[in-house]
Amino acid sequence: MHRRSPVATVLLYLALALTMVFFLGPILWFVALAIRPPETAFARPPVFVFEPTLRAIKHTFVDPGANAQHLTNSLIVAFGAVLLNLPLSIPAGYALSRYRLRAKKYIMLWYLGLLMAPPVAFLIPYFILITRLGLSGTYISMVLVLQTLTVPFSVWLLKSFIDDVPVELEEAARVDGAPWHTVMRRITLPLAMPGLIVTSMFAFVFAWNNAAFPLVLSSGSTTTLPIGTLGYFATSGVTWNFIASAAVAAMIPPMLVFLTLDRFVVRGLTLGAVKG
Amino acid sequence: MAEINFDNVGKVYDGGTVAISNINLKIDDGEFLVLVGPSGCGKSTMLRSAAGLEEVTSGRFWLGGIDMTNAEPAARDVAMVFQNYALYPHMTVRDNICFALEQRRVPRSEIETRVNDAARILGLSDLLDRKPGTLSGGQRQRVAMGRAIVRNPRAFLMDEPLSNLDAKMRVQMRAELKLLSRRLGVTTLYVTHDQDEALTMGDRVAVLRPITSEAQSNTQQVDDPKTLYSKPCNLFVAGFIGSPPMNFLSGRVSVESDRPTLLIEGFENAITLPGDTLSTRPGLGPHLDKPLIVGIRPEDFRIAPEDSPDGFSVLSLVTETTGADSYIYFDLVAEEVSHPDISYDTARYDGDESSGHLRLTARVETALAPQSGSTVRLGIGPDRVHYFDPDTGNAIF
Repeated sequence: MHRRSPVATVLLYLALALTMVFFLGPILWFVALAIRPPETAFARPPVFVFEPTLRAIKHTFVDPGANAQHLTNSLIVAFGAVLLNLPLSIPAGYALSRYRLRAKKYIMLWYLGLLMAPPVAFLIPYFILITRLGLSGTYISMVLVLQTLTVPFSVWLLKSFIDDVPVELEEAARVDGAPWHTVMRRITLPLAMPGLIVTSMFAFVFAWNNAAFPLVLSSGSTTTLPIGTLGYFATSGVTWNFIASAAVAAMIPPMLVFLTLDRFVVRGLTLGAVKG
Repeated sequence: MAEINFDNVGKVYDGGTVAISNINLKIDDGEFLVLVGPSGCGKSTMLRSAAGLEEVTSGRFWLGGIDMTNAEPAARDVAMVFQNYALYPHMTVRDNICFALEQRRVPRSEIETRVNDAARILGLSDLLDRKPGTLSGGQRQRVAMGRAIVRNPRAFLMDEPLSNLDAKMRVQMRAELKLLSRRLGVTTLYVTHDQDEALTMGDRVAVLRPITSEAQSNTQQVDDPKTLYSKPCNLFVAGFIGSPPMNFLSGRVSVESDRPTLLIEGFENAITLPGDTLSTRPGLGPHLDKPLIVGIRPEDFRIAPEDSPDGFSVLSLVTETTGADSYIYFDLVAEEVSHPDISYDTARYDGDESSGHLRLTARVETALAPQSGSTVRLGIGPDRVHYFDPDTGNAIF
């Protein structure tokens, strides 16, 4: 490793600091929003000095009321989406990675197209479909519909992770006498494990952040956090501190997921770079 | 243990590429047979077909007298050693070795015994709890072998198992592998592109070539190493086996004053052949006084005395020593022999005018070898010459 010159070091840290401000600034602003008096939320010029109040934080974390239900609903829907995501994506990713398919390119592009289409475009058809199926307002409806977002991304990701598992290992296991499901269970999936984890993390975040589908598909007892937060837009005024406080609470689960699993992300991103 | 039989086996890929065609090859029970050939000759396809990893499109494949043409890999009970070893990286050496036994529901206690036995034979006992990633190339190679021998399979299928090792390790493992195979007596099909490996290891060697309009089958010659080297059946085998390769020249055999005589283009003098040549090589009769392709192995040149009547003087362009022996590269004033199975690699010492010159290699004792740039008189052993039909490329015996 060669040493950096002092100037380069200063510039590097400056760039890092600016990046941090860019990404962390809004989060800190939200945290500040949660503890400031709501009337100063959009004061011009911005008020930086205020008397902090913990009323909203206390409401969210100590005495959450309906918010707790919304958080639970969000967790059920997000984990449900993750659980359904893998069994759907693994076979598709495996087939696209391993088999010689004539239409492989087009299938991959079709998935990509699904990923690029705005979810709003699917809202009305899905609403009609789910209502006719009598699933309106259920967790399962949201879990199912969220697969539109999670599966295409997961298939792409898993395909590349399975590409990195040498096919010889599967062949060796087959010659060793293993049937296909043993090959999957003992060889392919364990070796693609970082990929499965990374894929699940992204699926979780997609599902967690999604507001469009629950907006039309959830109801009352199944309302998720982003939709629940809308309740703070009351006729008596917008209680920004409560909204911000709920948003801070909503950031915590994805953060926990990333903090506990980040080593897999790094491993996942470098998988295949070093042949063992 | 079982004999392997390829019965007219062929494989055409979806795109229409013919990988192997008309393969008829029987490997005896306990035999060590090596498949050797240049890349694209179908040797790996044959091996993978034998393992069941590749479906054949014609012919039948027999293993121990049972038709296994369409059998799944698991049903064939063969063990395969892959070029890159294909060790399961997330499992310990022990788990790697016993994986196949677990699949076959061998009792736990017996697995224990067999894994320990295999580990002892291969010197892996201290490594059983390590992961493959922490092992050296040679150790990984041994684990791959261990995984194969612990199963006591009907046959071993080995796909260039030594090609990822360094030169010294390769020679060492070559001997170990050969010993192991003899000791276990398991039928072995071994693929390599390295002719040294083929000749040193094989009980018999099958020389393969890619399918072309001329070659309707991949198998060119299947023989023991000695026969393969001394009696190659055609120009392809003659040019492929031997390093440096055989020299090819244009010539003709005629009878002059009752003695068979060999005239070679570019040689100063005619070479008198042994009097019984026509009876020991009856195939030559119909080719008398007709153009032939003459093959001379580098080691069949010898340093001749200055006054020898059938010798010829050459200028050594480069003399390379390999230790006991040296290679002399020299040119004859002659046209290169034109045949699809002969390719010249004269780029090596070029810079001089090469058209109308035929580059040859001689192998002589280093003590007698001339310096680069000096002249030497060479002769050939008249009974060691190979003859080929210039039309078919087949050897004339």
